Formats: sequence, C-alpha cells, structure tokens
Amino acid sequence: MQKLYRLFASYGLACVLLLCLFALTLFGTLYQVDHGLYAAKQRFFNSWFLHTDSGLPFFPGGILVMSLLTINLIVGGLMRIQWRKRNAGVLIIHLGIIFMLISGLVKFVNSEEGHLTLYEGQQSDQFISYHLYEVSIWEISQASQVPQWIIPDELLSDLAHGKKRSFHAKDLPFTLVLSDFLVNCKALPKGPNWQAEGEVIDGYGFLKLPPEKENEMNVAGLHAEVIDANGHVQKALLWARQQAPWAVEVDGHRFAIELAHTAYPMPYTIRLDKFTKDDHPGTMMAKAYKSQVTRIHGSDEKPILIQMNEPLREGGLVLFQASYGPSTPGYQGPFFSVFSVVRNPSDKWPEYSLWVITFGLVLAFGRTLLNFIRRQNQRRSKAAGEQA
Amino acid sequence: MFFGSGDARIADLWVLNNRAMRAFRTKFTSASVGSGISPAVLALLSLLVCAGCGHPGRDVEITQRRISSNIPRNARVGMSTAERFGQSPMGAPRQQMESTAVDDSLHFELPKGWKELAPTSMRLLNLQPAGNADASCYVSVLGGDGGGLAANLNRWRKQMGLEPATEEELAALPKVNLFGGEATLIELRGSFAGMDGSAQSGWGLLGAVASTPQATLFVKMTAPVEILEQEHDAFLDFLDSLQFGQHGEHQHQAQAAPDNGEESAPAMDGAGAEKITQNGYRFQLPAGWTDAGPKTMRTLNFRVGKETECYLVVLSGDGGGTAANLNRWQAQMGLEPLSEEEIAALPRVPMLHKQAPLLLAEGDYVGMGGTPSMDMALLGVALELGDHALFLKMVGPDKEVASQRTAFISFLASLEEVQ
Repeated sequence: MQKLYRLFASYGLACVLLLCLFALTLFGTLYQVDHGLYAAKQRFFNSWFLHTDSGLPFFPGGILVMSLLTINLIVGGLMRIQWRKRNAGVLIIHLGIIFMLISGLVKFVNSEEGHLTLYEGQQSDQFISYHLYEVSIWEISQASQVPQWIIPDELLSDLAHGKKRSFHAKDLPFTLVLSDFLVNCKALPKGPNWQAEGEVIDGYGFLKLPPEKENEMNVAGLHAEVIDANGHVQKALLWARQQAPWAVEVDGHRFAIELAHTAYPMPYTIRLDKFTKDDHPGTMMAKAYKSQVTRIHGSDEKPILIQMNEPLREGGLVLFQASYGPSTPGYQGPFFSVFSVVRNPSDKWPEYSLWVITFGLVLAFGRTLLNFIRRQNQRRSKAAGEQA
Repeated sequence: MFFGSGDARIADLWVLNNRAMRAFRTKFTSASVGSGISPAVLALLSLLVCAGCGHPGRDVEITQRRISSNIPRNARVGMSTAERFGQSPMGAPRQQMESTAVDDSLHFELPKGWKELAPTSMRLLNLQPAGNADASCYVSVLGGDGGGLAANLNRWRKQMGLEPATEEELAALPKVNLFGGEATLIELRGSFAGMDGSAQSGWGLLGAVASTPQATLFVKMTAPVEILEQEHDAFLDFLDSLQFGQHGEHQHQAQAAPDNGEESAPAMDGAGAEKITQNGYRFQLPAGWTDAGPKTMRTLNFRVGKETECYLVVLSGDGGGTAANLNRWQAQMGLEPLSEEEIAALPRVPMLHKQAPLLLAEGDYVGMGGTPSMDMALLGVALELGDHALFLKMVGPDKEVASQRTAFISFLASLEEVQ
C-alpha cells in the first residue's frame, strides 16, 4: 500500500502522465487531419485506451491519463506536500488544476451538444444532437403531444457486424429487434452493381460508405424487426435520412418507429422571428449573420438577439449562432438559421479554475518575489553597515 | 504572511487542515495501518479498470420515455420503403403493361413482373427485371456519340471480364428497333464486375445502343444468366415500346436524319421554341428554365426547377484551364481530382461546333457559403476557345439535376455566340 501511495504521489508518474498527454495531443491532432475532429476526440481523448485494429489496447487514452493525473495531483499535490503557509500558492494551483480536470469530467459525463435549426416563423422546444442517434417509438395518433419510447445511442452504436439486440417495454405489444448499425450508409434499390450490407428488404439495401471526416455528415442505418406476441415478424430498414417513419400495425394499434439524431428537450421554446445576413460587397460570402428570436416560457415571451460572439445563456443552455443555409450559390432565401446548443453544467468551471490557478500563481510567485526583495534589502543594509 | 493576524479564522482552518493532512499522511504511509485507506484506493482503481467495461445485454427493457410534440406526422402503415426514403415520388411500382411516362417525355410498356425504381442522376429510367434484386435494366443518354459504339461495347465487355471485340465482331452485331430507329444489340456472357469491383460469374448483359449526332442512348440489362434468358424477349419488347413523348417518333426520326441540314437539339420540350439572345449569346431556353437575373461573373444565369441553378461564365484566355476548373468542381462536390486520363475519358457533348468534356459529379456540394448541401449533383462543361473560355455549370439536388440532364445537353447544343 505504501508503494502504491508513493507511486501515485510521485513526480515520476506526473512526468509520465504529462508525456502521455503530450503524445495524445500530438497524435490526436495529426489523426484529426485525415479522420476529422470527432473521430480524433473519440479515439484519443474520450477513451480509456487506444486500440489496435484488432482491438488490443496499446496506449492509455485521454480519460485514463487525466483520471490518473487527477489522482496524482490529489495524492502528490495535496496530501504529500507540506501544508505550510509557504506552500499555499502551490496548493491552490493544484486545486485549480484538479478543478479544471473535474470540470472536464463533468462535461464528458453530463453535457449535451446539438443544433437547433429554424426557418423564420418556426419554433422548437428541443435541439438535435450532431453525433448521437436514437430510435424512437410512438403510437400514431392525432394528439399534439405524444409519449415516446426512446432507445438511446449507447444501445445502438455497438450493433455492428450482425450483432442483434431486442427491446421490449411493458406497454408495447411487440419486441423490437435491431441489428447491423452502420455509421454511414446510403439506402438504395438493390441492383447488381453493389453488395448490400445485411438483408435486402422491399428491394432496398444499405450501401456501406466510409465514415466522413466531418462526423455530422454521416448518415446511419439499422435493420429492424418487429415481432408480435404470435411470433409474426415485420422487417424494415431504418435510415437516418428517411422521409417518413416506419409504421407497423400490431394488435390493431399503429406504431411509428424512427431512427434519427438524438433530440434533447429544452426548458423553453425558441422562435426565429428574423434572420439577417450581410454579405461582403460584390460577393456571396456572408460578412455577418444574426437571428432575432423570441424565448417563450409559458406566457412569458422575451425578444433576444443572437449573433456571433453573443450567445443566449439561459436555463442551463447556451445557444450560439452557428451557421445558416441553404448555401446554394445565388440563393436569395428564405434562409434557415442554425444555432449550436450546449447543455453543460460545468460550462463556466474552466474559467473559475483559471481564476483559482491565477490566484495561486500570484500567491506563489508573489511570495518568492517578496522574499527576494527582502533578502536584497537585508543584503544592501548589511553592505551599508559594513561600509559605515 | 498571507494568512496573518488579519484573518484568524482562515489561519485556524489552515492549521486544522495542515494537522489533519499530516495525520492522514502519517497514517497512510504507515504499513501497519494501511488497510484503513485501501478500500478507497481500491474502489478508485476498480472504477478506472471497470468504467469502460460495461456492456448492455442482448435483451433490454426500454426505460427512457418522453413526451414530444415534434414528431413526423406522415407515418402510414403500408408505405413502401422507396416512399419512406423519398426515392419514389411516383409512388408504388407501375402495374404490368401499363403505358407509363418518365418526366413526361419517355413512354414505355413495363414487362410483366418488372418493377420501376426511382431514376438516378445517370439513369433516365431505372427498372428491376423480374422483380429480382440482382437484375437491373436502365436507360441513359450521353451527349454526342457518347464515346462511340466500339468504346462502349468494349467497356461493357470489360465489365463482363471479356476481351475487346474485333472490328469484324463489331460489324456483325445485330440491329433492333429503338425509338423508331435502328440500334445495335449487344449480348454478353461472363463474370460481371460491379461498382464494388467484385466479379460474379454466370452473369449476362443485354444492351442496345442508338447513336445520333446530338446524343447516344443506352439501354442496358444485367442479370444472372438464367434471369437474362428468361427475360430476353421481355427486354426486346421493352426496347420496342420505348418512345419519347407523344411526338417521340417524330423527334427520333429528326435526330436520326441529320442530313436534312437542320440543326436540331435532342428531344426536348423547348425544341422548336424561338431562340433568345442575351449578353452576346443566342440559345433555346428549355422548358422550366427561367432567367435568374444578373449576377457577378455570370454571363447567363438561370433558375431550373425548384432549387437548381445553371449559369454560364465566360473568362478570358483559358480561364485557368479545363482540367483545373473541372477539378475545382470536383472539389466543390467533395470528390478527388480527376487524372488526365479520367478527364480524357469524360463523355463529350457538342458545344459551339466543338466537343466539350461533360462532368457529372455527385456528392455534398460546398459552395461559396461554405456550408455543405447534401445529395447534390453538378453537371459541368468547360470549353476553351483560344482567346476566351466558357464554363457552363448546373448544380442542384441530384434528382432535379438528373431530370434536367437532357435539357442541359439540349441547351448546350442550341448555344451560339453572337458577334
């Protein structure tokens, strides 16, 4: 146990971990060039280990390195160090770094990111993930608000290479079996010129495509089977770019099943009132664009302007003006406005941690400076005394 | 000095913490009492080791529920996959022997058991013989001679794993009726190599090629040999039934007989309309095209359909060169640049009494706005004329561009420079 303590408290471990972080940052940045930002983040930073193509772990990933670094900072920086006034600055710096790492962990575990895309006059109380998918099931009705069963991304994205998973709920009269999740694919009428990935259903199959560098450009696909209590099976392809959900009838009830990007509810509704785009003179390149929106919360309506570097921060969400479209050359509108939406409980924590670190640095270096000045004064006084 | 007499409470806390830490450190570093802290460390290590190991089971209960008002309202039991994927605007497959039309210009009789699929950017008509997913039959058109009969025959022979045909074999090919004229019938057996490069043995190809000075029409069926033989007669009947519009026969005769000296465009709704002169160019405006007004750099600027645009840019000199511009368009569609050989192999279309390379690129278009538009197609033609160069480009949703392909070639054929 003593050895373990010494190991976690050691400068050696800190150096190794910092070198690992350096390597992850360097190779993650290089990896991004060919594979895009999302893939690089997932492989190098949002992982416990880096794996070879055959699945063997060969290097610690960002989560493992930063977790060990946090332990190292706690054990070595707070427990082993002498708690004396002269170490106050160093202790506060360590606390600040730990706080920063914890804020990263909170963001990794508990944040939601996506976009809200609206044409003028449209409104929405949910935003859509850029990267994650979900399968939603609901009973078809004319009701304005409909209860849905949700199968989240973590239960879908591992269903590759023929792997199946069945889903049931006590209120659902059928079992849904999902399989063959494809990160990027195109649904096409099956012809002789290509091999479909998985079963061909109703003349259509999935053409597997290589993942796009920009992950949000990928279009996922899934094979789905609905099995009722009598064992009757209905099959379909679920494609993230389908224009209508798959509808099935079971026991006289009609259900819709859809694969789509994950939708996150917002605590209020945003309505786009006006989108304004200013172009550089003589070009079609946007110089600036902004959105006049209304934040609706019950009967309370508040007009808000969202533009570059002026996001809306409210209800635990941050809405940034991200882009607009369509971008077809010569297109004169109407345009839609795209807001990047982030729900991150630790949104401001890195800023706070920087203030803590700054305070610690001022304390540590200020103390050293004052000691230096004091020693210089003493030396000068001593020299003056000797001359006198 | 930082926690001096000015704030005794902070100093007290500091001392307390210092003592506690010292005691904790002493306890922890003592081997005899190390067991007191070990559960915490072990738990932490266990967390590190196991955090990434949790896998959901094969059978999962759905526990996540939500109430939503933003749901698609177009779910309908019985909707076909093609309809759900928005690839069958015409609805369910056509009934047997029903007289049908594509884009109001192509009429045919669908053989028994065949299915009509959504057209693609390269295929005016896309069919599935015998309802078999491995079989395919389509009609496509290329401007000019489309590379010539020999080149296309040998391309198909190569797809079937066969050696190029000799001139004698070429001359001996049988002729069939197509669009009221004569077409060369090609029948091959071999190992079919599709787009993914995998060769499948025991396959056959039935094709017909009809060339006119303005355009070349291709009808091609590929299928396993047994299906090909079973559908052989149906294919010939299908060829015989193909015609353009209500005046298709007349149009085909006009294209097939250029010796009458008339400049005629391929079969188009706009054919026969008066030519328009604008900014030094005279042309026939195809049906459904409208003037989109002046725009920087654009000599001619049209809006086509709902979201497609087509415009002519005229630059001095070589305008940067044909290859550079074709590859710039490739890049806009997110595609790799073409090699010199690939550019040389592009189909040629008639333009200003010359033959210009026609580029068809499909992908996600990134224009000057920087935001990509999905499922787009680009048709582009570059022509160098010594002191100036012309670049005609059509860009829009792939289905809309596919439906305007013939109109694009027709427009090119009608284009004249006015002195």
